Amino acid sequence: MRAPATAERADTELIARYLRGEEQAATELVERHAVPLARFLAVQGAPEAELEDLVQDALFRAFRSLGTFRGGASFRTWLLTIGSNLLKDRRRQWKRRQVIELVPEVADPQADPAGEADASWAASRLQEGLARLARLQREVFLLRAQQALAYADIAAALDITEGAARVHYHHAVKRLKAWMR
Amino acid sequence: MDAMTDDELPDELARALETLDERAAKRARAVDASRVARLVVERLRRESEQAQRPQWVRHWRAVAMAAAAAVVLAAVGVALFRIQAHRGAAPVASTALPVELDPQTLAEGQGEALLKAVEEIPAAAAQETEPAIGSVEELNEQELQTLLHDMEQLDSGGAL
Repeated sequence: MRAPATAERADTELIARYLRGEEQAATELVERHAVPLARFLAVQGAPEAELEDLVQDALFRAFRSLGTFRGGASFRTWLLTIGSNLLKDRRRQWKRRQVIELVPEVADPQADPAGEADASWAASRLQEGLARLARLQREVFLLRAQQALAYADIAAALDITEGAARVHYHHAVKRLKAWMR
Repeated sequence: MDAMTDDELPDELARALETLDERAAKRARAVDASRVARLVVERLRRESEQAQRPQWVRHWRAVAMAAAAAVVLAAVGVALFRIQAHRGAAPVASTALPVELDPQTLAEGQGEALLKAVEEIPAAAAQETEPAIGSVEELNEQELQTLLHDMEQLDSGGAL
């Protein structure tokens, strides 16, 4: 899932081209990162109806603050953290207006119903557990476990030390294990 | 997900995360990356165009409101000035003498007589507005009979 090194190089080139005024470079960057960003936000429980809007806003914010992007982390990692922060802000708004997820999970009819139900329950339970984690624990856990990023990259994106990233990860795993029991 | 060598997830957690990730991937496929790209680029372009406009054009609403407020204030000021001027002029007109007099040309006695006459004008005006009859008790017999006769006539005529 992690963007390969060539893609990172290409991202840097696209960013440079965009900053020189080439709109097409922005289009390419968005097309490259929109779906992975949506997936990252969906794992954290972003409602399906809001997903595209969230992705659009996160990308817009990222382009507006490209001047502050120092390149310590990859563009993808940096974008994912922007998306996470945006999701956190939106959750507060949704709490106030009670957003209800209208799209239920539909089980695959050809799959083992009991096994499917167990897996679905565990996934939902994990999602609840993720929502209960502290922000840094959740972000480090997902960037490490879902995006398979190196601690150095995670630390650079979140502006923490590599050691702190490891500690957050291990705390998150410990708390999630306890939550899943 | 790529395997991680130094900190593997417990099996139960790894399986749950895999299911959750598959579910998320399914939802993410509904996102139209081309449409998102078009909308993001449009928003960036709009913002860039706004940033290139002169300061007063960017804040044209504030400028327009300030101009409207200035016009309203000016109109109110002119109206107040005219009302005050009108109020100030009216008493002068009512107390002005109908003929022009030069005080230097009046003798000492004439001046005093003029001042006295001017002071007597309000008293005379007040007297004019007072009723001519103070009380019914002050009327003599004939006047009372005339009054009763007038009142009977009014009653019979249905005027009251």
